[in-house]
Amino acid sequence: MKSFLNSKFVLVLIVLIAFVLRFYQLGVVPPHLNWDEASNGYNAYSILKTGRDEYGNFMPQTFKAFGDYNLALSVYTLVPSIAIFGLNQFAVRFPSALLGTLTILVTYLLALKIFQNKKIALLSAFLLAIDPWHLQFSRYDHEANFMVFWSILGVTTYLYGKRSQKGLVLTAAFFGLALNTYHGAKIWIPLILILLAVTNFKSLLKFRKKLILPVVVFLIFTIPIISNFQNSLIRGQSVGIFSKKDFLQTFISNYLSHYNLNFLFTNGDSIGRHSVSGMGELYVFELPLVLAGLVFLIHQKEKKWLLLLWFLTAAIPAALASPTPHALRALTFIPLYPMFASVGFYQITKIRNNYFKQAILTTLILIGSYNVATYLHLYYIHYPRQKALDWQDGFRQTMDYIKNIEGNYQTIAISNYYGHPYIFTLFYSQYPPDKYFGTKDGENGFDKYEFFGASWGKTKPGKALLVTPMWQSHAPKVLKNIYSTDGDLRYVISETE
Amino acid sequence: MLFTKFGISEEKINKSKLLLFFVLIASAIIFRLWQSTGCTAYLVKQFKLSDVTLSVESERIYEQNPNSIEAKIFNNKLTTAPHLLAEVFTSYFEPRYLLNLIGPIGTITVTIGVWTIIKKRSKKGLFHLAAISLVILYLTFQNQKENHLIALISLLSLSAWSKSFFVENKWNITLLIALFIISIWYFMITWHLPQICNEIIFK
Repeated sequence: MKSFLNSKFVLVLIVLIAFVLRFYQLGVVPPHLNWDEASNGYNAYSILKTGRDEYGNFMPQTFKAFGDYNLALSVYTLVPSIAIFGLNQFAVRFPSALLGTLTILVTYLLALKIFQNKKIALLSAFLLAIDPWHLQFSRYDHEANFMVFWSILGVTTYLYGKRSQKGLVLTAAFFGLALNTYHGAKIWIPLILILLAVTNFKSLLKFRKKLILPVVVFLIFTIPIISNFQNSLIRGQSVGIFSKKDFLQTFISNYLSHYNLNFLFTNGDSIGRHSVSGMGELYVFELPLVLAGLVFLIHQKEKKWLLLLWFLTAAIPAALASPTPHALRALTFIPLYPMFASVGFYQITKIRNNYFKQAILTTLILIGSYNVATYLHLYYIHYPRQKALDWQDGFRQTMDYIKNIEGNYQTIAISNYYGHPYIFTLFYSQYPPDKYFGTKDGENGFDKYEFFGASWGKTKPGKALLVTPMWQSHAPKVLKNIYSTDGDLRYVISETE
Repeated sequence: MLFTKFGISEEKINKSKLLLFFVLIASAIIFRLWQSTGCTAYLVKQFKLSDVTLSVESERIYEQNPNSIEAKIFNNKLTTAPHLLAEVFTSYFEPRYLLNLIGPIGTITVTIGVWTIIKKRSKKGLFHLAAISLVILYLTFQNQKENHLIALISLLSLSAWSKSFFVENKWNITLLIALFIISIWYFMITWHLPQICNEIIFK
């Protein structure tokens, strides 16, 4: 009982650490919303206010956004958060941070079931709580993070409830929800279901007719996917490698790139938003632990086939698209490395030579503490400046300025050089969705806002406000220079009669 | 079974399987080596101290106060140097690089070789792994044309540990033959050696 209470207390502490790391300065770092976040946020706001998306579709099953046709759950999940906190950066990221925190709890339960060992389970939860890969994606709104939560919950529910029909129905529902979060889930969820079926073939066979209900429940969740199948292929076509001549070669190369030690431990993903510069997706101190854990799991007589096969298949969804290695699409790995590292750490604690053991543990803890401190420093100090452009930083500051003076102008013309300015304008001005439906002209403009490419020509009489990048021609009367977090001059706001 | 019926002893069969094992790996690699003779400029994988200074300086500009103790704790040569060294060192074990260098046949036989060493906890094997790590560590400081060649020979030597797996039964030796065919096909389509060569003349 005492040890149970202790482990419960430790778990609460770990979840608290996870919570702090995911919520501290959530609305400020990363410094700005990227356009997908702004789009999801505004569509959720529009659903909240009107029940319709930005295109006027009533309660859609997929969200067209920029032609990606995002799956419904990615947007609907944001609605309660926006209802409570309003339309702002924090509200958009809140669900991701919350589900990220809950993933720690679910991973604890998963590890506990797999290893039947509280220490390994607690350590897995702790390592995931401080995991740079998971932290990075829990701190911004991306549907892949939702998929990770629901799919891990699905696996965990299955392992706990596989002997009852209720458990299987719940499992089916969680996997069904995961399927409706992210495009990549359409590949990952069938894969993980096959893995579960293969590794639990005998226990599933016992159910026979009782399997019908869970299958029906899962099929119900596939309806939005099937009914929008054509649309959902669009994203796959734009990033997928299916049409490549050298498909097999590219696939193998992409697949292997996710097991590259440099990606995992020293360099990380090349996409700015996906990792801090100068670090891998995982901490360096985890490398020997992961290797030791893997070696132990391979050696074990009773193999943890689910984990080993999961490890080998997790790269498949990411390998079917470009570029690679891709930390976001490879979020399927998320619970594995902390679990492998925990097993490795646990094995080290069992070394008989006490001095040797102490030396290894002390070294690991020292290097580990330095690694974590370095990550936090890089994330909070370097990252907002270094990757400001990757986050399209500058638009919020522009809108903050425009909001106070827009009443003085008949036209506000904004350059679309940095991409999709209409969605940032809608988001940061909290423009009423019902008013937007009536005045919009695609991505070209709405109300008094006009968005232009290389140059702008006056179409309406009266004063106009011009928002351009510094190198683009602007009106002689400059009202304000807008600097982004990295100190670069991002926009020039000028006035023309 | 079939051969023993014809009076060929088990020992002879095993010897010929072993011979086939080495011949297949050697011919695939010789083919790759011949292809690489067309390479006029190799990709450099080298650890340089000047890169350490550059890396520290380029990160310092993102500090709130570049001269503060905090900035020095997190951006210094002492921690950046091993980081960059590890980056070059591990790049020799990158799966894509291995595939490009020693092909599917080499990558899989080396993987099975390492697996065998770990599984058997062979002291000789662990010594072999340590020796190769030292060779690769030496290579991380070198900028020479022969780097890839030395890496190829060193890493491929690990495949010797997989021989018992492949000569074990007829299915495994068939797998090896299939790997040989796949490797030749793979080498043909990646004749430009993307992870190894900067400039190549097709022969």
